[in-house]
Amino acid sequence: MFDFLHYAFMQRAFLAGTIVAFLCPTIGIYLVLRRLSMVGNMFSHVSLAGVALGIFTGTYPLGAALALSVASAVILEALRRTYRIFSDLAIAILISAGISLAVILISLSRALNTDLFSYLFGSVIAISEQDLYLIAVVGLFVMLLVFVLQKELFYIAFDEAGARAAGIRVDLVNMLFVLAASLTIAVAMRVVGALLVSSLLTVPVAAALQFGKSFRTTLFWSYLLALTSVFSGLMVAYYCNLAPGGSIVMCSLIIFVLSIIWGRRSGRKQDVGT
Amino acid sequence: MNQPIIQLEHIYFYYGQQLILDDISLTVNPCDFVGLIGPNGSGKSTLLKIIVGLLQPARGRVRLFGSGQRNIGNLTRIGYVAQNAISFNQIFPATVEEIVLSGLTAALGYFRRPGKTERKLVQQTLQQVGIEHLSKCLIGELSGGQQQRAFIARALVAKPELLILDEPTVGIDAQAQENFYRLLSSLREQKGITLLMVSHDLSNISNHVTKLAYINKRLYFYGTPSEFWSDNTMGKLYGPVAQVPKGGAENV
Repeated sequence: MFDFLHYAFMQRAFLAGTIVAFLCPTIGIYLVLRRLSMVGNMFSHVSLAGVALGIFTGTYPLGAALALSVASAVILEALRRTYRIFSDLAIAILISAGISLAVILISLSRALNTDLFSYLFGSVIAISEQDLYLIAVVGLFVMLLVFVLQKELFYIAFDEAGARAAGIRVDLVNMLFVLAASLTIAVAMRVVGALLVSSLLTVPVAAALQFGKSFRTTLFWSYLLALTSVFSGLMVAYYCNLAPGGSIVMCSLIIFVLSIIWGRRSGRKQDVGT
Repeated sequence: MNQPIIQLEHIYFYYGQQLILDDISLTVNPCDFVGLIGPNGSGKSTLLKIIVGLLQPARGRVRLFGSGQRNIGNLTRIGYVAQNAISFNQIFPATVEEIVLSGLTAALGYFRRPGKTERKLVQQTLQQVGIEHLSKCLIGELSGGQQQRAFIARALVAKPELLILDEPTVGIDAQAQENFYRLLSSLREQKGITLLMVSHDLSNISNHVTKLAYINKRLYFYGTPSEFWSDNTMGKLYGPVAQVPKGGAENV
């Protein structure tokens, strides 16, 4: 059954998928709990513009996506702080900027091809060794950063004003977190594609909220459900010859629906996000 | 050591063009239990936010523990429970224990993680506020009064010298309120914690505090509850306000 693991490209896909399955809930749980789910969409659209820029200029697309994603993180904070624009509006503006830049660059480079397709919807065969290294390095950095800032991020997610009053450097922690989010989304895009990456940030966490009896166990469930989604999604993609973005996210959605049904039966609250 | 806990010197604050706080000066001494009262929109919460550094005054100076410097060291000596503390995301997946443990975040600093000592401290603090049996419950499953105690515990766990509470009794039934005041009194008497608390329930709070401060943009009265009542301050406040000399109340 696991004969596909003999192929080097599938090994890379599973390794990259495993890293991404850990990264996405790590970032996603704070985004979901702070009601900032749209941030995922923002970075994925900007990352897509980065990919288009890479293709247009003939540089490494994932590298360009990372650079542009990080740049947009800085712009987001500047818009929010310097120009005092509401977060959701700043996010909407950057989504527009990202997607319009992507469309222009794709048109200019006449790059509506398989390569771009793999960045839009993910690909099991397109993940190169270089991609895997980059995903691993970024993954290690993000996990380390979030590990160090875990108690601060927890406090801020629960009560931002309280955290500020308690003497936590909220602006600094927020800036570092947004940076980690931008990196995560840029590399996760390689596996699930730009259009679906934000789903992997939020759906496993939304499902885990039905099971978690504490923050720690909710995070544990998020990892477990994200890993299950990624592994089953990659297998479905391999056997049915699909783009993995669709199958991975569809698996996570099935898990979400099942968790809601389970939650309803066991009397857990349903009002996710309200 | 007997230096004042809070010294406010001529604090002014504006929201846009609107004057919210007009020349507020007051001093809170160690072991005081100060009730900050005033009508809605009188600037009570704003004043607390200025004290804890969430807002900056347009003019004037805040001195905490005798120091004009607002640094982490000072802030960890203060426990603050905001007015909207219990309006958090009710499905937030965190246990009472996790919430209270987060009160040690600033004291631990960036690279230290809570260990056995900290967990023990959390249990002791939960015992102190009487909800140790709820430590494994999700915070959203608690009643309003229990949540309020959890937030007090989060503020207390870092062993503050000053506890600042913004309308903590709103939405809590009479019995729970009474227990709550008893808890505050025991904290003050046994642990020597200084308390500053906003309330709009004048009759209830004046039975428990050592000092009352009445503000409505300006500080109109600062003294003991018995002075407040014997002085017929309410009558004066709602009569011709001009009788109270500006700034004259600060050294009562």
